[in-house]
Amino acid sequence: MAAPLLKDILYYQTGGRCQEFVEPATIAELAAAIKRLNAKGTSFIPVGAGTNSLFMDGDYSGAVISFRKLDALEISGKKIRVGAGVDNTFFSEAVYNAGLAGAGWMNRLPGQIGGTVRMNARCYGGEISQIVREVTVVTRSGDIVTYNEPKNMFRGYKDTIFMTNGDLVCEAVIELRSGDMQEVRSKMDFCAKDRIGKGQFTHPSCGCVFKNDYAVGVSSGMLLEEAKVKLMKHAGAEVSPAHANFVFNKGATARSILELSVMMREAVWVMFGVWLEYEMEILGAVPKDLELTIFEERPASYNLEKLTPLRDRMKAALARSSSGQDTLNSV
Amino acid sequence: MAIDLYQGDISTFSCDSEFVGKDGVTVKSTCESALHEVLANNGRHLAVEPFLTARSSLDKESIVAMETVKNFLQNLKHRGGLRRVTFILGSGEHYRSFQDALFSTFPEEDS
Repeated sequence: MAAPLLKDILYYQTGGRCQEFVEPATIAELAAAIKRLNAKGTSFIPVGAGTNSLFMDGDYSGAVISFRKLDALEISGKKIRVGAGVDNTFFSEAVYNAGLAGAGWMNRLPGQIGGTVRMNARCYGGEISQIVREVTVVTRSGDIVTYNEPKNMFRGYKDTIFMTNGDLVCEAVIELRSGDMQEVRSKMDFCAKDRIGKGQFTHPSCGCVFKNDYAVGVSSGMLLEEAKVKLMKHAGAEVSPAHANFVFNKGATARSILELSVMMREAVWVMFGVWLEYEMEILGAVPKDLELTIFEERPASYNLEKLTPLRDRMKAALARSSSGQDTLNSV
Repeated sequence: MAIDLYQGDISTFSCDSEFVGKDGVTVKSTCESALHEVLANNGRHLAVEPFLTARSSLDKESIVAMETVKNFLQNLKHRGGLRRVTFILGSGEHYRSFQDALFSTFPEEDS
Protein backbone atom coordinates (compact mmCIF):
# COMPACT_ATOMS: atom_id res chain seq x y z
CA MET A 1 0.00 0.00 0.00
CA ALA A 2 1.35 3.45 -0.90
CA ALA A 3 2.33 5.70 1.96
CA PRO A 4 -0.25 8.42 2.61
CA LEU A 5 0.39 12.06 1.82
CA LEU A 6 1.68 13.58 5.03
CA LYS A 7 -0.37 16.73 4.49
CA ASP A 8 -3.48 14.52 4.67
CA ILE A 9 -2.67 13.13 8.10
CA LEU A 10 -0.73 15.88 9.87
CA TYR A 11 -2.58 18.60 11.73
CA TYR A 12 -0.70 21.44 10.02
CA GLN A 13 -1.42 19.92 6.59
CA THR A 14 2.04 20.15 5.07
CA GLY A 15 4.48 17.58 3.73
CA GLY A 16 4.58 15.27 0.75
CA ARG A 17 4.81 11.51 0.50
CA CYS A 18 7.29 9.44 2.47
CA GLN A 19 8.97 6.29 1.28
CA GLU A 20 7.40 4.21 4.02
CA PHE A 21 4.75 4.84 6.63
CA VAL A 22 5.06 2.80 9.83
CA GLU A 23 2.15 2.46 12.27
CA PRO A 24 3.09 0.09 15.09
CA ALA A 25 0.33 -1.11 17.40
CA THR A 26 2.67 -2.16 20.20
CA ILE A 27 5.98 -0.98 21.61
CA ALA A 28 7.59 -4.27 20.57
CA GLU A 29 6.40 -3.71 16.99
CA LEU A 30 7.90 -0.23 17.03
CA ALA A 31 11.24 -1.53 18.33
CA ALA A 32 11.29 -4.20 15.62
CA ALA A 33 10.42 -1.64 12.94
CA ILE A 34 13.28 0.63 14.00
CA LYS A 35 15.74 -2.25 13.96
CA ARG A 36 14.54 -3.18 10.48
CA LEU A 37 14.84 0.41 9.21
CA ASN A 38 18.33 0.73 10.70
CA ALA A 39 19.39 -2.52 9.08
CA LYS A 40 18.22 -1.20 5.69
CA GLY A 41 19.88 2.16 6.30
CA THR A 42 16.53 3.96 6.02
CA SER A 43 16.26 7.23 7.93
CA PHE A 44 13.06 7.88 9.85
CA ILE A 45 11.11 10.69 11.46
CA PRO A 46 8.59 10.11 14.25
CA VAL A 47 5.44 12.20 14.11
CA GLY A 48 2.63 12.62 16.59
CA ALA A 49 -0.47 14.52 15.57
CA GLY A 50 1.71 17.18 14.00
CA THR A 51 0.25 19.92 16.19
CA ASN A 52 3.56 21.49 17.16
CA SER A 53 5.59 20.82 14.05
CA LEU A 54 5.98 21.75 10.43
CA PHE A 55 6.83 18.98 7.99
CA MET A 56 8.73 20.40 5.05
CA ASP A 57 7.45 20.20 1.48
CA GLY A 58 8.31 17.56 -1.08
CA ASP A 59 8.68 13.82 -0.72
CA TYR A 60 10.71 12.44 2.14
CA SER A 61 13.05 9.63 1.18
CA GLY A 62 12.81 7.89 4.55
CA ALA A 63 10.15 6.40 6.80
CA VAL A 64 7.63 8.29 8.89
CA ILE A 65 6.59 6.63 12.14
CA SER A 66 3.12 7.32 13.46
CA PHE A 67 2.04 6.64 17.04
CA ARG A 68 -1.71 6.78 16.46
CA LYS A 69 -2.19 3.05 17.05
CA LEU A 70 -0.38 3.19 20.39
CA ASP A 71 -3.65 4.26 21.94
CA ALA A 72 -4.06 2.14 25.08
CA LEU A 73 -5.30 3.83 28.22
CA GLU A 74 -5.44 1.84 31.42
CA ILE A 75 -6.54 3.42 34.70
CA SER A 76 -5.54 1.68 37.90
CA GLY A 77 -6.37 3.70 41.00
CA LYS A 78 -4.60 7.04 40.59
CA LYS A 79 -2.11 5.77 38.06
CA ILE A 80 -2.78 5.73 34.34
CA ARG A 81 -0.71 3.90 31.76
CA VAL A 82 -1.28 5.76 28.52
CA GLY A 83 0.00 5.21 24.99
CA ALA A 84 1.81 7.93 23.05
CA GLY A 85 -0.97 8.09 20.47
CA VAL A 86 -3.76 9.02 22.89
CA ASP A 87 -5.21 12.45 22.22
CA ASN A 88 -4.69 14.95 25.04
CA THR A 89 -8.34 15.96 25.21
CA PHE A 90 -9.48 12.33 25.22
CA PHE A 91 -7.07 11.71 28.09
CA SER A 92 -8.24 14.75 30.03
CA GLU A 93 -11.90 13.68 29.67
CA ALA A 94 -11.18 10.04 30.51
CA VAL A 95 -9.41 10.83 33.75
CA TYR A 96 -12.05 13.41 34.64
CA ASN A 97 -14.70 10.72 34.17
CA ALA A 98 -12.66 8.48 36.45
CA GLY A 99 -12.81 11.15 39.17
CA LEU A 100 -9.13 12.14 38.95
CA ALA A 101 -7.75 15.67 39.15
CA GLY A 102 -4.53 17.14 37.76
CA ALA A 103 -5.04 16.95 34.01
CA GLY A 104 -7.76 19.57 33.47
CA TRP A 105 -5.25 21.91 31.84
CA MET A 106 -4.79 19.37 29.02
CA ASN A 107 -8.36 19.78 27.77
CA ARG A 108 -8.31 20.97 24.13
CA LEU A 109 -4.50 21.01 24.15
CA PRO A 110 -3.91 19.89 20.55
CA GLY A 111 -1.76 16.82 20.18
CA GLN A 112 -1.07 13.41 21.63
CA ILE A 113 0.44 12.27 24.91
CA GLY A 114 3.72 11.25 23.27
CA GLY A 115 4.41 14.71 21.89
CA THR A 116 3.17 16.38 25.06
CA VAL A 117 5.67 14.38 27.13
CA ARG A 118 8.45 14.74 24.57
CA MET A 119 8.32 18.54 24.70
CA ASN A 120 7.26 18.89 28.35
CA ALA A 121 4.18 20.88 27.38
CA ARG A 122 3.16 23.66 29.74
CA CYS A 123 -0.02 25.73 29.63
CA TYR A 124 -2.74 27.13 31.87
CA GLY A 125 -0.80 26.47 35.07
CA GLY A 126 -0.03 22.84 34.31
CA GLU A 127 3.04 21.07 33.04
CA ILE A 128 3.24 17.42 32.03
CA SER A 129 6.40 16.88 34.11
CA GLN A 130 4.30 17.47 37.23
CA ILE A 131 2.27 14.30 36.68
CA VAL A 132 4.47 11.91 34.70
CA ARG A 133 6.09 9.20 36.79
CA GLU A 134 7.51 6.89 34.14
CA VAL A 135 8.17 7.00 30.41
CA THR A 136 8.90 4.10 28.09
CA VAL A 137 10.82 4.90 24.93
CA VAL A 138 12.31 3.10 21.98
CA THR A 139 15.83 4.34 21.30
CA ARG A 140 17.14 5.18 17.83
CA SER A 141 18.79 1.78 17.82
CA GLY A 142 15.54 -0.01 18.60
CA ASP A 143 15.99 -0.81 22.29
CA ILE A 144 13.10 -0.43 24.73
CA VAL A 145 14.05 1.64 27.77
CA THR A 146 11.97 2.81 30.72
CA TYR A 147 12.80 6.01 32.59
CA ASN A 148 11.32 6.35 36.05
CA GLU A 149 13.05 9.45 37.40
CA PRO A 150 11.27 12.55 36.06
CA LYS A 151 14.28 14.76 36.82
CA ASN A 152 16.32 12.66 34.41
CA MET A 153 13.85 13.31 31.58
CA PHE A 154 12.49 16.82 32.01
CA ARG A 155 15.16 19.48 31.65
CA GLY A 156 12.93 22.50 32.06
CA TYR A 157 10.71 24.84 30.12
CA LYS A 158 9.45 22.94 27.06
CA ASP A 159 12.63 20.92 27.10
CA THR A 160 13.38 17.22 27.69
CA ILE A 161 16.22 14.84 26.99
CA PHE A 162 14.07 13.21 24.29
CA MET A 163 14.31 16.35 22.17
CA THR A 164 18.04 15.79 21.76
CA ASN A 165 18.69 12.08 22.29
CA GLY A 166 16.11 11.07 19.70
CA ASP A 167 14.34 8.48 21.86
CA LEU A 168 10.78 7.85 20.70
CA VAL A 169 8.29 8.30 23.55
CA CYS A 170 5.85 5.36 23.41
CA GLU A 171 4.05 5.25 26.70
CA ALA A 172 3.83 7.13 29.97
CA VAL A 173 2.64 6.35 33.46
CA ILE A 174 0.85 9.38 34.87
CA GLU A 175 -0.17 9.80 38.48
CA LEU A 176 -3.14 12.00 39.35
CA ARG A 177 -4.97 12.71 42.58
CA SER A 178 -8.45 13.04 43.93
CA GLY A 179 -9.80 16.56 43.99
CA ASP A 180 -12.79 18.80 43.60
CA MET A 181 -14.23 17.59 40.31
CA GLN A 182 -16.34 20.71 39.87
CA GLU A 183 -13.14 22.72 39.94
CA VAL A 184 -11.58 20.37 37.42
CA ARG A 185 -14.58 20.78 35.12
CA SER A 186 -14.33 24.56 35.45
CA LYS A 187 -10.68 24.42 34.50
CA MET A 188 -11.41 22.19 31.50
CA ASP A 189 -14.18 24.51 30.36
CA PHE A 190 -11.96 27.55 30.83
CA CYS A 191 -9.18 26.05 28.68
CA ALA A 192 -11.62 25.07 25.94
CA LYS A 193 -13.36 28.44 25.97
CA ASP A 194 -10.10 30.36 25.90
CA ARG A 195 -8.69 28.39 22.98
CA ILE A 196 -11.94 28.53 21.02
CA GLY A 197 -12.31 32.24 21.81
CA LYS A 198 -8.88 32.85 20.36
CA GLY A 199 -9.94 31.11 17.17
CA GLN A 200 -7.26 28.46 17.53
CA PHE A 201 -9.21 25.76 15.76
CA THR A 202 -10.53 27.70 12.78
CA HIS A 203 -7.63 26.73 10.50
CA PRO A 204 -4.69 24.32 10.72
CA SER A 205 -1.81 25.67 12.81
CA CYS A 206 1.04 24.41 14.95
CA GLY A 207 0.01 26.37 18.01
CA CYS A 208 2.46 29.02 19.11
CA VAL A 209 5.25 29.41 16.60
CA PHE A 210 7.61 30.96 19.18
CA LYS A 211 8.32 30.21 22.82
CA ASN A 212 7.97 32.85 25.48
CA ASP A 213 11.20 34.44 26.67
CA TYR A 214 10.97 34.72 30.45
CA ALA A 215 13.55 37.48 30.67
CA VAL A 216 11.45 39.75 28.49
CA GLY A 217 8.47 39.90 30.81
CA VAL A 218 6.00 40.10 27.95
CA SER A 219 4.54 37.11 26.10
CA SER A 220 5.78 36.47 22.59
CA GLY A 221 2.19 36.82 21.41
CA MET A 222 2.01 40.36 22.79
CA LEU A 223 5.37 41.30 21.26
CA LEU A 224 4.22 40.00 17.89
CA GLU A 225 0.92 41.82 18.16
CA GLU A 226 2.65 45.10 19.00
CA ALA A 227 5.01 44.53 16.08
CA LYS A 228 1.88 44.51 13.87
CA VAL A 229 2.35 41.04 12.49
CA LYS A 230 -1.37 40.36 12.65
CA LEU A 231 -1.71 41.93 9.24
CA MET A 232 0.86 39.65 7.70
CA LYS A 233 -0.03 37.13 4.99
CA HIS A 234 2.32 35.27 2.75
CA ALA A 235 1.38 32.81 0.00
CA GLY A 236 -1.42 31.05 1.87
CA ALA A 237 0.15 31.45 5.30
CA GLU A 238 -1.59 33.93 7.55
CA VAL A 239 -1.08 35.18 11.08
CA SER A 240 -4.20 34.49 13.13
CA PRO A 241 -6.27 37.66 13.58
CA ALA A 242 -6.94 36.63 17.19
CA HIS A 243 -3.50 35.44 18.32
CA ALA A 244 -0.36 36.87 16.77
CA ASN A 245 1.78 33.85 17.70
CA PHE A 246 -0.33 31.50 15.55
CA VAL A 247 0.19 31.05 11.82
CA PHE A 248 -2.70 29.50 9.96
CA ASN A 249 -2.23 27.30 6.95
CA LYS A 250 -4.77 28.51 4.41
CA GLY A 251 -3.35 26.65 1.45
CA ALA A 252 0.30 27.39 2.16
CA THR A 253 3.42 25.37 1.60
CA ALA A 254 5.74 24.66 4.51
CA ARG A 255 8.23 26.99 2.90
CA SER A 256 5.84 29.92 2.86
CA ILE A 257 4.92 29.28 6.51
CA LEU A 258 8.61 29.34 7.39
CA GLU A 259 9.17 32.50 5.39
CA LEU A 260 6.29 34.20 7.17
CA SER A 261 7.68 33.14 10.55
CA VAL A 262 11.02 34.69 9.63
CA MET A 263 9.27 38.00 8.84
CA MET A 264 7.43 37.84 12.18
CA ARG A 265 10.64 37.23 14.13
CA GLU A 266 12.39 40.05 12.31
CA ALA A 267 9.54 42.47 13.07
CA VAL A 268 9.88 41.76 16.79
CA TRP A 269 13.66 42.11 16.59
CA VAL A 270 13.46 45.48 14.88
CA MET A 271 10.93 46.89 17.33
CA PHE A 272 12.04 45.35 20.64
CA GLY A 273 15.51 43.86 20.22
CA VAL A 274 14.11 40.48 21.27
CA TRP A 275 15.15 37.43 19.25
CA LEU A 276 12.35 34.88 19.49
CA GLU A 277 13.09 31.19 19.78
CA TYR A 278 11.07 28.73 17.72
CA GLU A 279 8.68 26.46 19.55
CA MET A 280 7.46 24.95 16.28
CA GLU A 281 9.62 21.98 15.36
CA ILE A 282 10.75 21.77 11.78
CA LEU A 283 10.76 18.24 10.38
CA GLY A 284 12.48 17.21 7.17
CA ALA A 285 15.06 19.25 5.32
CA VAL A 286 14.94 23.04 5.58
CA PRO A 287 15.63 24.56 2.13
CA LYS A 288 19.33 25.44 1.90
CA ASP A 289 18.64 29.11 1.22
CA LEU A 290 16.61 29.41 4.45
CA GLU A 291 18.89 27.40 6.73
CA LEU A 292 21.10 30.24 7.95
CA THR A 293 18.13 32.49 8.63
CA ILE A 294 16.08 29.89 10.47
CA PHE A 295 18.88 28.71 12.75
CA GLU A 296 20.41 32.14 13.36
CA GLU A 297 20.82 33.26 16.97
CA ARG A 298 21.08 36.90 18.03
CA PRO A 299 21.87 38.04 21.58
CA ALA A 300 19.08 40.14 23.06
CA SER A 301 19.44 43.90 22.81
CA TYR A 302 16.31 45.15 24.52
CA ASN A 303 14.61 48.35 23.55
CA LEU A 304 13.56 49.13 27.12
CA GLU A 305 11.69 52.26 26.11
CA LYS A 306 9.29 50.13 24.09
CA LEU A 307 9.29 47.11 26.38
CA THR A 308 8.58 48.85 29.67
CA PRO A 309 5.03 50.02 28.90
CA LEU A 310 4.20 46.54 27.60
CA ARG A 311 5.52 44.97 30.80
CA ASP A 312 3.30 47.27 32.81
CA ARG A 313 0.30 46.31 30.70
CA MET A 314 1.13 42.63 31.06
CA LYS A 315 1.44 42.97 34.84
CA ALA A 316 -1.89 44.75 35.05
CA ALA A 317 -3.58 42.12 32.89
CA LEU A 318 -2.16 39.33 35.05
CA ALA A 319 -3.22 41.07 38.22
CA ARG A 320 -6.76 41.41 36.84
CA SER A 321 -7.00 37.73 35.93
CA SER A 322 -5.04 36.32 38.86
CA SER A 323 -7.93 35.90 41.26
CA GLY A 324 -9.82 33.65 38.87
CA GLN A 325 -6.78 31.94 37.45
CA ASP A 326 -4.82 31.15 40.58
CA THR A 327 -7.53 28.99 42.00
CA LEU A 328 -7.58 26.99 38.78
CA ASN A 329 -3.84 26.38 38.54
CA SER A 330 -2.75 22.75 38.33
CA VAL A 331 -6.29 21.40 38.45
CA MET B 1 15.39 32.47 27.86
CA ALA B 2 14.05 29.95 30.34
CA ILE B 3 13.86 29.74 34.11
CA ASP B 4 13.91 26.12 35.25
CA LEU B 5 14.02 23.89 38.29
CA TYR B 6 15.98 20.76 39.11
CA GLN B 7 15.66 18.60 42.17
CA GLY B 8 18.99 17.12 43.13
CA ASP B 9 22.63 17.86 43.76
CA ILE B 10 24.34 20.76 42.01
CA SER B 11 27.55 18.75 41.70
CA THR B 12 25.84 16.33 39.32
CA PHE B 13 24.06 19.03 37.32
CA SER B 14 25.39 20.00 33.93
CA CYS B 15 25.75 23.74 33.22
CA ASP B 16 28.53 26.22 32.51
CA SER B 17 28.10 28.45 35.60
CA GLU B 18 27.06 27.48 39.08
CA PHE B 19 26.51 29.43 42.24
CA VAL B 20 25.82 28.07 45.71
CA GLY B 21 24.17 30.27 48.31
CA LYS B 22 25.69 30.57 51.75
CA ASP B 23 24.18 30.59 55.21
CA GLY B 24 23.52 34.13 56.36
CA VAL B 25 23.12 35.46 52.82
CA THR B 26 19.61 36.22 51.65
CA VAL B 27 18.01 34.47 48.69
CA LYS B 28 17.72 37.84 46.94
CA SER B 29 21.38 38.58 47.35
CA THR B 30 22.38 35.05 46.29
CA CYS B 31 20.36 35.34 43.08
CA GLU B 32 21.72 38.78 42.27
CA SER B 33 25.32 37.75 42.89
CA ALA B 34 24.87 34.65 40.75
CA LEU B 35 23.41 36.69 37.89
CA HIS B 36 26.17 39.31 38.09
CA GLU B 37 28.75 36.57 37.95
CA VAL B 38 27.25 34.66 35.03
CA LEU B 39 26.92 37.86 33.01
CA ALA B 40 30.51 38.85 33.78
CA ASN B 41 31.67 35.44 32.57
CA ASN B 42 29.30 35.43 29.58
CA GLY B 43 27.86 32.08 30.67
CA ARG B 44 24.92 30.47 28.88
CA HIS B 45 23.43 28.32 31.61
CA LEU B 46 23.45 29.33 35.26
CA ALA B 47 22.58 26.92 38.05
CA VAL B 48 21.77 28.50 41.42
CA GLU B 49 21.44 26.56 44.63
CA PRO B 50 19.89 29.01 47.08
CA PHE B 51 20.50 28.50 50.77
CA LEU B 52 17.02 28.24 52.24
CA THR B 53 16.55 28.83 55.91
CA ALA B 54 13.61 28.76 58.25
CA ARG B 55 13.96 32.49 58.82
CA SER B 56 11.28 33.14 56.28
CA SER B 57 8.64 30.78 54.92
CA LEU B 58 9.68 28.61 52.02
CA ASP B 59 6.86 29.92 49.84
CA LYS B 60 7.94 33.48 50.49
CA GLU B 61 11.57 32.73 49.71
CA SER B 62 10.69 30.98 46.46
CA ILE B 63 8.65 33.99 45.33
CA VAL B 64 11.54 36.30 46.27
CA ALA B 65 13.93 34.14 44.22
CA MET B 66 11.71 34.23 41.13
CA GLU B 67 10.94 37.92 41.41
CA THR B 68 14.62 38.72 41.88
CA VAL B 69 15.59 36.87 38.71
CA LYS B 70 12.71 38.40 36.80
CA ASN B 71 13.47 41.98 37.89
CA PHE B 72 17.19 41.60 37.38
CA LEU B 73 16.82 40.27 33.85
CA GLN B 74 14.18 42.80 32.90
CA ASN B 75 16.41 45.68 33.87
CA LEU B 76 19.20 44.58 31.58
CA LYS B 77 19.61 45.90 28.08
CA HIS B 78 21.95 43.07 27.11
CA ARG B 79 22.09 39.70 28.72
CA GLY B 80 25.01 38.34 26.71
CA GLY B 81 24.76 34.66 25.92
CA LEU B 82 22.67 33.75 28.96
CA ARG B 83 19.91 31.35 27.89
CA ARG B 84 18.84 29.57 31.03
CA VAL B 85 18.71 29.90 34.79
CA THR B 86 18.05 26.72 36.76
CA PHE B 87 17.30 26.64 40.47
CA ILE B 88 18.72 23.54 42.13
CA LEU B 89 16.50 22.34 44.95
CA GLY B 90 17.40 19.75 47.50
CA SER B 91 13.98 18.32 48.34
CA GLY B 92 10.56 17.68 46.88
CA GLU B 93 9.06 20.25 49.22
CA HIS B 94 11.45 22.94 47.99
CA TYR B 95 10.87 21.90 44.39
CA ARG B 96 7.10 22.17 44.69
CA SER B 97 7.28 25.54 46.35
CA PHE B 98 9.58 26.89 43.65
CA GLN B 99 7.38 25.39 40.97
CA ASP B 100 4.35 27.24 42.32
CA ALA B 101 6.40 30.44 42.39
CA LEU B 102 7.69 29.83 38.88
CA PHE B 103 4.22 29.32 37.44
CA SER B 104 2.80 32.38 39.13
CA THR B 105 5.75 34.64 38.28
CA PHE B 106 6.08 33.43 34.70
CA PRO B 107 2.56 32.36 33.70
CA GLU B 108 2.06 30.39 30.50
CA GLU B 109 -1.39 30.28 29.01
CA ASP B 110 -2.12 28.63 25.69
CA SER B 111 0.74 27.20 23.68
